[in-house]
Amino acid sequence: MAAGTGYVGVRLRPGTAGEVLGIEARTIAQRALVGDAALTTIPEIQALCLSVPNVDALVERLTDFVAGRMHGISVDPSTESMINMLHVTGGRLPVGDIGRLHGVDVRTVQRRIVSATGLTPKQMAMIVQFHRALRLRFYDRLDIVSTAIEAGYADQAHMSRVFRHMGGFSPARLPDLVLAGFPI
Amino acid sequence: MKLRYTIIYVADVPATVDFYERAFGLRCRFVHESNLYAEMETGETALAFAGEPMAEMNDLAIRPNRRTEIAAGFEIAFVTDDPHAAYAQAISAGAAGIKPPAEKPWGQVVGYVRDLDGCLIEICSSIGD
Repeated sequence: MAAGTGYVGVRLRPGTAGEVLGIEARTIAQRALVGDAALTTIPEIQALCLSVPNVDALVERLTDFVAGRMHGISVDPSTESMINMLHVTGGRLPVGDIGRLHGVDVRTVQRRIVSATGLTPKQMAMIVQFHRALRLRFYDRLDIVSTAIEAGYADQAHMSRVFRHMGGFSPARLPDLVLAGFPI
Repeated sequence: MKLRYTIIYVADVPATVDFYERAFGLRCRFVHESNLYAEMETGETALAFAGEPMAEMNDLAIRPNRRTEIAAGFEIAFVTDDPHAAYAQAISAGAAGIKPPAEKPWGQVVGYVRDLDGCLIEICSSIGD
């Protein structure tokens, strides 16, 4: 990224991205679409690419676009409850338990969460668990051993592998530019 | 330090407040406009309820309490002059009966119900009555 480059972004509630972008969530899961690839996959965002006089105008346009597309969107309440439970439990509750708590089997949990988010429940749980470990480690200044235990990793080595795999850095030190200062 | 609050994470804060009012005769002291936190009028140590999403906001992770699950290893105990009537009132308000009040060898009358989320509630007479 060149010096002086700025950008704006929006974080969508899990389960809403497919409808906001007008696509199946799974088609863009685990991908970063840039430039023409993004415009081809999601033609609706073309309207966002017209030039603007300043960053504030860009923020306003993006906000209006998302707010307009969010209007009338409803995530199935049971699926939303499953997604919320992944968050409440820090990604530590087995998928079978989430199913049992909602009176459905594991496959139903899988199907609903993949359909809503593009991610399997396990993938989503791992992300939630990683994000919580990040907050414990770098917002709450918890030491590495305690973070690994509280976040639910088998041990410190396990947590370190996950940090390297999902974030590309070590739990010992958070890179300065990670998420560009956005809240985790 | 002082024990000032007992806070239970619940699925639905307003529904839990309503239930505790009807089942155990408590009064609500405060409900936050977000409906994610409420305190009951229980004297110096407040019984409070927090919505489950509050856990993640506090960087916590919790196992949600549910009636269909094994009860978590804690209980809230209410002392009353008439445990049998209190037990009946709790059941009629929607509590799940576990063990009707019965006299312990030390003379205390003790019964158990589970609340809306499955948390254990003890209903008992004071010791020595």
